[in-house]
Amino acid sequence: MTTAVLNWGTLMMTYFSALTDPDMAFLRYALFAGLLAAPAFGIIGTYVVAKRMTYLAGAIAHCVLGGIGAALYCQFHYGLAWLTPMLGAIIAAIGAALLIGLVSLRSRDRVDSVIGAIWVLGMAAGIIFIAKTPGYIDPMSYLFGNILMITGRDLLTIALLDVIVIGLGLLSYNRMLAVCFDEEFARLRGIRTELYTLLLLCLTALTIVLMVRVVGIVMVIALFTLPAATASHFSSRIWQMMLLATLLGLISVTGGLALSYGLDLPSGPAIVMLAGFFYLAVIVGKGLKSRLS
Amino acid sequence: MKTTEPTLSSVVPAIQCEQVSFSYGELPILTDVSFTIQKLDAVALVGPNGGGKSTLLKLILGLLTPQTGTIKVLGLPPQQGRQKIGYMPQHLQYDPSFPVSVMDVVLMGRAGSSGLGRYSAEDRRVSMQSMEELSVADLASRSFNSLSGGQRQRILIARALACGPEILLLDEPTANVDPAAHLQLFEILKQLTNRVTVLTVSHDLGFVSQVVNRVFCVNRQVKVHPTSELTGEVIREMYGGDVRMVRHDHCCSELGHSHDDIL
Repeated sequence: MTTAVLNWGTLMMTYFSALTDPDMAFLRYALFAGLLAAPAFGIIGTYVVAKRMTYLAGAIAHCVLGGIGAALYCQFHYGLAWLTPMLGAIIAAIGAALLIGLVSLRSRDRVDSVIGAIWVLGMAAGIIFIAKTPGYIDPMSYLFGNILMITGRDLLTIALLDVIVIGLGLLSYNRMLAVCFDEEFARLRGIRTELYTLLLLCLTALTIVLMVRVVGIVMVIALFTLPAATASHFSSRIWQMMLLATLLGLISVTGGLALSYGLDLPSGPAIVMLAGFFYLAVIVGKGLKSRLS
Repeated sequence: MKTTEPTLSSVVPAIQCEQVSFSYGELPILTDVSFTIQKLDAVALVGPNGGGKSTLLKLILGLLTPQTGTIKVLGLPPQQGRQKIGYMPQHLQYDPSFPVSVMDVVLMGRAGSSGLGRYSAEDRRVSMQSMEELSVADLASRSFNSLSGGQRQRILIARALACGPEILLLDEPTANVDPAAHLQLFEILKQLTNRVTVLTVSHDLGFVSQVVNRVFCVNRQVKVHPTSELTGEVIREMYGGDVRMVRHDHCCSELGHSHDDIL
């Protein structure tokens, strides 16, 4: 037990010293990206969990690969240097959010099949685009994250998206709360619920883009659901859930990157594992508590 | 100079249905339904499950559109008139662990009234007042998911009242409520019928017949009965026979009442 504590201590120490190392800029960038993204994930993740839209968020995340692939393809074949993978990801995410939103609002039946199709087609398109783009591009780094790819410019984009997401997420708090709690009643009160659903999906899309570099397309959804679901066990108000989810996100990102650096683990999985550990610990703890009492 | 003629608003009925028919695909739910509910009338909708009660409510709320016929709410199409309807749904399609305070739930009755969705001091005052009217003001800071069925029911009626409605639409206000809370709800509803038009769905005829003036029997068609005519015979016909019932102290006419053309 003591050795474990000691190891954890040295691990954090070497991690923090590495953060100040000028040769380790990527580590700082990854941490900044994670810290910037945590509040957005806390706020939007809470709405997504409360409105039970995790499946829709998953579909949006996977469509992002289509946008990244298309951007890489166009950059190479048409010389569109401005069409960065980040921009491609943003366009694809917003496009997928609107498409999925309209399908789930308008389609009468088999909504889950249609969304499943969008999920897979978006991803397949991305793989095909990447395969048809010469040069060494590893789809794995987009699927599971690669902090070595984060640039200072990405960080700036992340900060900008972050401001938009947090601003809109908090400004629409009361309306969003009404729509998440009882959509039919909200509509009867004259709230344009479809508009708010689409807004929430678009904010979800932008939040996904924030962390795609760090944890990748496949696992980004975990950062939506795990902190918010863990927080829901200790919250009696939505804003408490947001605050707690943000805090859990911050801890998961910092701790996960430290683990990844100290133990030489891939960073995305390390972050997600830590977030998952908190969630399972709370579930098991609650279960034990209710059995004992 | 004051005029003795009734003003326009006083003659406009609260709810008016004219030859309304609605079907889901091939399945007819309501056929040729016509009725008028005047302001301050108190009406109960009764009838078997699947008879069309919920559909009728959704039509009045403008959530569904009839294939034929017209519905007017306070003289307006439902989508406009519903601003003046306070609605209490039967099934909240919400996550039972949804973390929200009672005050926040009641404030949702005021949502949509302001531009950016911020609640004003007036919104809070009105919400508090409707909670006081339902004697649940002391629950304001509690979590909604920690309340009993009867308390939640009253909070949802308070939310409907917070809309500042001229018409209250209540879907099964006595569902999931224990007998003691039943009596309380009964008193509250009786009070409310003095100042708003009440339209309530209920399975509990004994309950509603003491609160409302008229009972609408909804079973593909709508039959109107003054409460004074409610007899066992009528009720059996409404529900298609085989109903066990306990008679409360409502009055029944001696001759009963028959529908010739229902079903």
